Amino acid sequence: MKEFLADKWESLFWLVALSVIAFLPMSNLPSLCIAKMIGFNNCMGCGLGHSMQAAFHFHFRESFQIHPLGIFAIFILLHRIITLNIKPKTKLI
Amino acid sequence: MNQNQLFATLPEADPVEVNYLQSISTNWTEDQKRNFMIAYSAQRTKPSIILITGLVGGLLGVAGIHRFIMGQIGMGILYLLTGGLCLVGTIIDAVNHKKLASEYNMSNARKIMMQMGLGA
Repeated sequence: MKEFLADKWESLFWLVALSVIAFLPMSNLPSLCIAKMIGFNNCMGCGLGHSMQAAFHFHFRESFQIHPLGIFAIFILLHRIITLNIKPKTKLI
Repeated sequence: MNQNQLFATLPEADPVEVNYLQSISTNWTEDQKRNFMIAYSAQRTKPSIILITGLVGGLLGVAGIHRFIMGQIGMGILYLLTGGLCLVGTIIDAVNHKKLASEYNMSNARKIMMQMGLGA
């Protein structure tokens, strides 16, 4: 179990993050932006979370208005999760 | 043994990487190993490079350079345009830098193996 976690934690992290964004209503939560917490006012990623949430609920126009890369982010992260979990066999040929 | 010494000489070699290289090369000749090493070390990235480009770049507003280095263009663009996913991605990658480098190096090793026609 420990080895499984050590190996897979990145993909689990992205999976959990995507699920939380998809299913947890974010309107009432404080901002999850770490840059904002530190004090940077606009980190160019602001609104990504809300944008992704809108995209998950198929409100694509709204998603694009909140942050243009929300839909792109979802695809890239899904791709990353999949890539991390396809382990090629070590013996080829 | 010669083989152990060969792979362990890679700078910042990590045990998973060395293990992997030893396991794929058990049936290779000395010449094949040497040729492989030349190609492999030319394309290899060190974990410290991933850490530095990822973390320092991220903190300076140019997140994602480490992803470009590893050929992950989509992730790189995403990081670049979103401040490293609001710093979250930057931090995750900093914590994970060794595994990221290892993963990239091992997939390069596979590619080189196939290009050179070396079975395991």
